[in-house]
Amino acid sequence: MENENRDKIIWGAISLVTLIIIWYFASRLKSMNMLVPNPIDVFKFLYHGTYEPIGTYSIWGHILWSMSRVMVGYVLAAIFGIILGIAMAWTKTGEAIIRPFYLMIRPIPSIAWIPLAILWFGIAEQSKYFIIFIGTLLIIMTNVADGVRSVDKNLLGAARMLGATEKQLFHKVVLPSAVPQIFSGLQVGLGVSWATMIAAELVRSSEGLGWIIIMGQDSVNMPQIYGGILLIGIVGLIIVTLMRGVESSLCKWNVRGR
Amino acid sequence: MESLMKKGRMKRWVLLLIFMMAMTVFVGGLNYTIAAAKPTKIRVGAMAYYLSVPLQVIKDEKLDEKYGFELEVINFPSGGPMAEALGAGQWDIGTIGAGGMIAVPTYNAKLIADVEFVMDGAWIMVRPDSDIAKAGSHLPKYPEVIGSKATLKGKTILGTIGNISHYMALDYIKLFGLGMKDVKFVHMETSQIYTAFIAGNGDVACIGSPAAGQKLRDQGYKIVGGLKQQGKSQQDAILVSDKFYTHNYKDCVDFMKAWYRATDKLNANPEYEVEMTKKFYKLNGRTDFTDAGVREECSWNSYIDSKNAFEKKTGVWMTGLVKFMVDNKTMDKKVLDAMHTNIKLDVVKDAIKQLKAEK
Amino acid sequence: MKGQFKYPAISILSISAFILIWYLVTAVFNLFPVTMLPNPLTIVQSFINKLFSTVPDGGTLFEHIWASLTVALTGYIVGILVGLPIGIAMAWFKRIDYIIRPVFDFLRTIPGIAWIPIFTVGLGIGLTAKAAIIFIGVFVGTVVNVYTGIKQTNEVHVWVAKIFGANSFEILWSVAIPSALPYIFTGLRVSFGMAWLGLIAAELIAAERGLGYMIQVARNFGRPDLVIVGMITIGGIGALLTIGLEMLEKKVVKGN
Repeated sequence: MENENRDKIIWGAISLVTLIIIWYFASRLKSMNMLVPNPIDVFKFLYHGTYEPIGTYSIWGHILWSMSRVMVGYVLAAIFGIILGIAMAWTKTGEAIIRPFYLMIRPIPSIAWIPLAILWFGIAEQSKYFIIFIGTLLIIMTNVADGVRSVDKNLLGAARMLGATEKQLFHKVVLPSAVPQIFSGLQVGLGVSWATMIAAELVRSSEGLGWIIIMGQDSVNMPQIYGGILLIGIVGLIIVTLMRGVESSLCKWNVRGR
Repeated sequence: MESLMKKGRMKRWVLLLIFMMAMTVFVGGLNYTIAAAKPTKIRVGAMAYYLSVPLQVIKDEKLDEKYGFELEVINFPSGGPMAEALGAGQWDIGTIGAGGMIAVPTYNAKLIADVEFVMDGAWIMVRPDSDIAKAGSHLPKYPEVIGSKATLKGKTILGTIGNISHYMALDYIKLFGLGMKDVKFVHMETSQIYTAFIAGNGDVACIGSPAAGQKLRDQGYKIVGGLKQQGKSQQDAILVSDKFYTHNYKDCVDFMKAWYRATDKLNANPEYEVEMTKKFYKLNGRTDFTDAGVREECSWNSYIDSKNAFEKKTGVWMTGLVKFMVDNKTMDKKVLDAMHTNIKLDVVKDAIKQLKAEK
Repeated sequence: MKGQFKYPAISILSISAFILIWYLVTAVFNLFPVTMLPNPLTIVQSFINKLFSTVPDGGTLFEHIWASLTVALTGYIVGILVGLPIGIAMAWFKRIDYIIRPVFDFLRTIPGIAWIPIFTVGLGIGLTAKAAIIFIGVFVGTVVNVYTGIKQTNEVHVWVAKIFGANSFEILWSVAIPSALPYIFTGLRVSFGMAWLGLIAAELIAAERGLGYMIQVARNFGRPDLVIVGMITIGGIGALLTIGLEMLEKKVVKGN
């Protein structure tokens, strides 16, 4: 196990360093210099951004803005997603009511909602929350419903035979065994929220990580575009990793094959 | 909630309740956004371009206080979102360009005044080595328009549909007897056109923003057309939302009084105009302008002020734009009627009368 | 109401209730202006109109559907062709996993839409750039699913194969991949959903036809009815294709 971890770190480091070296040499090729900026310029941009404002805020400010948008949209989506997902999977009536809407809304990309979101909620924060909410809701619903449906039928039968009421069945059997999948839904949902945030910041924003990229494009500032993309990747990675940590410490009994 | 679930039947009702709750929250959210405007606070829609600079003067010179209202500027990246925001009831008065052709007929906004007296800076550009540039000038009526039917046919044009560049492109190819079917018009967001064009995509770029056009020109790209070059001098307009016009007519007049005081001041002193323009761009997050560029832009353009307010007929440009779109079957016919009925000249008349009485 | 018709009836009832409420608040009580939320009848009208009319975007609904399908399928097929071998290699060979993992984990949190400025410069504004946006989503989805599938290979089977003297490639080919097939098929279906969801982002690059483009133009012209027609079309086609793939999946996996 020790060896394996060491291998992981060494090879990971080798791969990242190689990538940066390739990047550096690519940026020095004449034919690529418009497409690929010097990585040093990108890291400089990021470094300066930590204490100098880009637009109105420094990088930390932009991260906080983006995170606040993700959080509001995500939390709303998590609450509604869990409730609706359970409702959809646990009773046939619930499924009959909700499923048609679910089927229809699921394949609609969250960006498609932007025009309506603006008309309904205006151009302020609410429309961004809405877009993140709608993009995340369906993913969480799917996972929660799958979790509730996949409860072991034998377990249910046994509990019923032992005289459990519907309420007890739901509390003592269904919920606990669906928790791992609910968590994995919450985790996937967080990733989706993060991705949708960029789309939401296209609506109209004057701050946020998506804004950094859009402004970079406006002024054809390649280091800024790459810097913005790197930031989205890094912060996204941190958030998802943290979420995984929370998940594994909360559901210790269930080791998922990851 | 759990205690309600004693019987299986109850569960269904709870589910229904949850569903209804979700719907209520949703609909409630909708209602929440339709908030009424405060009587003296005027929410003015603006863009970080020349057309909205007088707003900075109104702010700096406290002209809003003087004429009894409170100015709140709301910024938009372009006319499209600005028109949408009017639909969502987010501004009362606004300075807008081609987006007005959507805002006026669709949302019944009133066109009360035009912004500029003369204007340039919206261009059609090609690469220096393009055969379109080499074709030279063939139209005696428009000597500055370059190109030919043969060189334009089948070319890829980058522009934004529903925006000034769309109109410019349609008009340009029409001068050579071509239609949308003869070229490849590719729709892109305004900010992407510049990047895509310098990266080597497309043959013709329609650039509505002077800063990007100047940058291309300084890099050697050739201007082959444009609104002024095609004899269609652009005029941005001041719009008022239907609701605000009906309920706050007096505030509209007050706003126009402050506006004309501001444009009088800007027209009287070119140096002041340049300074205010730079200040306004900078405060609103523009990073793409240069001192020389702004000077040039100011020298091309001038505002309509209290002295020449009646020299040109108001709304002609916007109406022409809508008519053009209707003729090209891009918009419905009924839109044109809506355009005509929504041009209102009374606000400016009252404002000028009151300003004269002031002196 | 007989048992077997009860639930479909409830479904139909719930949709009808939704449309009725929509109709009531828009057409009857006029709670929302037409420009904010058009009534359902207008939508139906616009939909039928759009089948033949080219106003305002220059294409009929079918032309847009066709253009979007081309973009989505191109990105989808390339994404799968690249994602399958990489996913298998990552799951089976530890070294490759260690090398690719950090880059992959990083890339998967960056949405396709963020790549637009770079793809525009690097790949132009044609089909390649649009398909590349879709490729990103499909690639990530495929790798994750294939990886999970191969990792679930029953240890005992591998062990047995080893005893019979099979080498690593043989085990991969005759044990791990067949046992991962259900996962791989689910992956293919899920990835298709990803491809379809990336459509509008892809058409943001530049377009002259396509459903995303149609929505975009409708938005610029202040036509919420056409925006909704576009959304319903995207939703409907997405749902149909997913159901089709689901059926195909059931057939193929059963056949194995």
